[in-house]
Amino acid sequence: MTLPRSLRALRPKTRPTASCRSSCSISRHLTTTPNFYHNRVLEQYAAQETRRVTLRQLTVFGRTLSEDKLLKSANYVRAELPVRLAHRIFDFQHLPFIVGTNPHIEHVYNLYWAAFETFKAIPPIKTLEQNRDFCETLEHMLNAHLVAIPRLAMGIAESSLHLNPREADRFMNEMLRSRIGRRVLAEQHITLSHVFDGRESQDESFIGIVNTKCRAVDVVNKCAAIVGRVFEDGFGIKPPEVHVDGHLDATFTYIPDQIEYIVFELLKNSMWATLDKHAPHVLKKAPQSVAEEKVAEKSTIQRIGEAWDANARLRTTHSPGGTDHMTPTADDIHPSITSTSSLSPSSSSSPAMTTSLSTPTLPPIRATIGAASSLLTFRISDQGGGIPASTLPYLYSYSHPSKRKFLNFAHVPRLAAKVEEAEHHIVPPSLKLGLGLPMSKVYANYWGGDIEVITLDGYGTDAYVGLKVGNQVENLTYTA
Amino acid sequence: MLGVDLASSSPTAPAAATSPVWRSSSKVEKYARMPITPVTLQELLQMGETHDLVSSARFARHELPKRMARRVKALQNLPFIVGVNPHIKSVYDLYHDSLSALLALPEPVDTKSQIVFTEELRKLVGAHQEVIPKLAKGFKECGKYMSKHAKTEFLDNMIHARIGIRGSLGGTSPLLASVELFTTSQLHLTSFLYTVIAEHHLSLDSPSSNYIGVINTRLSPASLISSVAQYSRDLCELNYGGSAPEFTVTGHTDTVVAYIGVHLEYIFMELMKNAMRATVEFSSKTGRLEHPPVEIVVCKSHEEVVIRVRDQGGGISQKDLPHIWDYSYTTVPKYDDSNGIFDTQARMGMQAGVGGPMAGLGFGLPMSRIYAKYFQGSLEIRSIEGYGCDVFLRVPNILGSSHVIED
Repeated sequence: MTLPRSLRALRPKTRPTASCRSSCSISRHLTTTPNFYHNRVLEQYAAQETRRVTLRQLTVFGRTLSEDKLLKSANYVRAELPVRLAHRIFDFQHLPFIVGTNPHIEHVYNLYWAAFETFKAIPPIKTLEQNRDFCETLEHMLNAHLVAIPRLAMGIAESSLHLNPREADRFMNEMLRSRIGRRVLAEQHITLSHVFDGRESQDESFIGIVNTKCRAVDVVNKCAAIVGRVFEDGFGIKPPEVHVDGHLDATFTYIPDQIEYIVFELLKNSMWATLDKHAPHVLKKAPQSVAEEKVAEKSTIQRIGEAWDANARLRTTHSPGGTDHMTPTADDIHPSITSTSSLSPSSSSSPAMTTSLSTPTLPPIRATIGAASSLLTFRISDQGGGIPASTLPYLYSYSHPSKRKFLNFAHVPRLAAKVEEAEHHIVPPSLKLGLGLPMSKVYANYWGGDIEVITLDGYGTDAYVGLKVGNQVENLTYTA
Repeated sequence: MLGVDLASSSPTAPAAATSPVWRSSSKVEKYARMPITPVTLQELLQMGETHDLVSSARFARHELPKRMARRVKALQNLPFIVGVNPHIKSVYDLYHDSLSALLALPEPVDTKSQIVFTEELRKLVGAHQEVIPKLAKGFKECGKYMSKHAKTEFLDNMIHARIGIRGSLGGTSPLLASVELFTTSQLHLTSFLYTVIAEHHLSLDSPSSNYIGVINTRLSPASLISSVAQYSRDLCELNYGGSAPEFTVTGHTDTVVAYIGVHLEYIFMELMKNAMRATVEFSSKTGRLEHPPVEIVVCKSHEEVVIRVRDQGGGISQKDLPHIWDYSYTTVPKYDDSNGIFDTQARMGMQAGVGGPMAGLGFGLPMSRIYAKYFQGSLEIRSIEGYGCDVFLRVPNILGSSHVIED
């Protein structure tokens, strides 16, 4: 049984062999901000165009592997990453000076510099042994960069006085999109290398991290089960049911992590809204619920303290064995991307809690799958009361005052933005981070799809995720 | 005196449509340049409430020439070849003649002159009944001579302005009958759908407290859409041999709004007709044995009422999606007429809905959106290709709105 990649990355490194090289370079750069005159090298890289991949390239290339192809892949990633990093660093350099001096922003900036230097210095990869080292470096970097999203989110939230909202949103979107792109390249190459080495075996529908037979209904069911458990664990309540209709037999080629994140976030929002409208007392009873309005009035420190307590309570009350959720055992994890048993309760949930509080009949959430030749649509409809007109324009914003909840990232220091993190309470269920919708949009946009939310204020919300099916090119630039 | 031969200005008889006539007129230029007096619906409502018919008529006398002159100008600025089209040409002549006729009317100063003015206006309104179908036909024939954008812009403005002209007529109470008759007859030519609203409007002798001018202050979207949906089912059954989807209306069904009933009715009719047609045709295409229902939700928000019409009619393809707001774009398949006259009639009704002579001309959706947007509402469609559509109609409560009727 293999661990999902994100969790493998989260696990403490046991074999620090080849990664020593890169961690040394990181520490060097963390101590000193790169020299002003050093920038010329960066500019050379920043001037280069990115070579974007298509979803089909990823699958066709990885279908039959040879040493030659693997090395080609390695060298593509090796050459591509510094260029993409240079673009981002360049973007950092054009932030207002005051924003650049924010400790969070500066931290990520230095991380990027270190990564840039590291990859730039790697000579062409000519042997499988060199490729193994390269993969170690990639894994190390993936792991080290898990702090990027929380840090960026907090940095942007703290800089809201100094950055106009449009610019802040553009900056974050490009950062996150580029980040997805780099991680896709890295994870794909690592997985292909591991499969080639025989260190990992894959279901035949998978090519690297791409599933060529992603079943839409499985995505919905898996995410519904996880959100359900998150609510059961977090609040001891039975969440609203999720009814799936439409094209139940639809399959498509996609990176499951990405679509699962989106569907998970939308279902979570729908469940929150449904409970909030139809059973607010249930949410209030739960000690962990952090009422957002109250959050705004309290100081950051208080909030962090409370959320941390809630978090700790959660960890202790709901896992009698005192299991540390940060390092889940293999038994906790369902490789349910292809399995149909994903609806079975996880061993980490406590069934006793689910029946302790009775909830009134909640209107179900309806998930509809629409399949057409070149488009796959997920529609998530709830009757959770809708979204007030006043917050509607800021759903995807990173900088609106309502996004002060980004400061909650203080207790989620590392985030890969993957469903497993919620599944294993790395992100506490009661903690609202405000990242779900903007991040989902970034994920959807990445392969040319989109996400749209239409609300009937006072009744419910409909969210539409349209994924283009076919040969989609990475979409790395953000257009407002 | 007006640069126009008023003697021949019988508005119902368009001039011979053989060749264009040089009709340069300083009056048209002058009136088209004059700023339009913005009216809010609230003002219209107030005018209606106070029953100050003379000042209401005087306002119409001042306002309408300016708005009409702008339309004349817009027609004059069409490409020459388009203006030569007999349908377009007759609309141009009609507007030109109407403008002249209006300008020839003396200013209403007392009840007597107000009655004269009102009577003339009633005739004019009657003469304009055929304008939209004529424009539709004309532009269909002129498709290749104008860019889609230019065509859409012209028609949007034209139709938008017509709503405005009618709206300002609405304030003069004696005109309600003709205005409503005008609106309803235009929208309902072939239909036997005379809803409570239309009938009620037509009998001005028994005014209801729910009406101020053309505005129904207690209009229930849920019951209106139910009756429209039922009518639409009947049409659908006629058309598809006894087969039509059920519909449900849920949500805030007891909500009422203040709105112009015929506008809503027109939009509802288009939406229901589209939803039912799509459902039935998708069922037959995919071999589905039972039609899934059309699900309608009425939702009351703070400043608007949202109506969502959800169907499982297969959605709109990505190819068609960019065109759904184009005039003259229709996904209605071309039928052969071999099934006999009755079927054809029903089909015409189904395709045209309340649009009558606009059958299959593809004006339904774009016109619905203009109606929807007129008082700052909106009409949006989200398609789930291969499955169905959600249509969102947002209707502001115009009593609370400060919307300005512009040209």
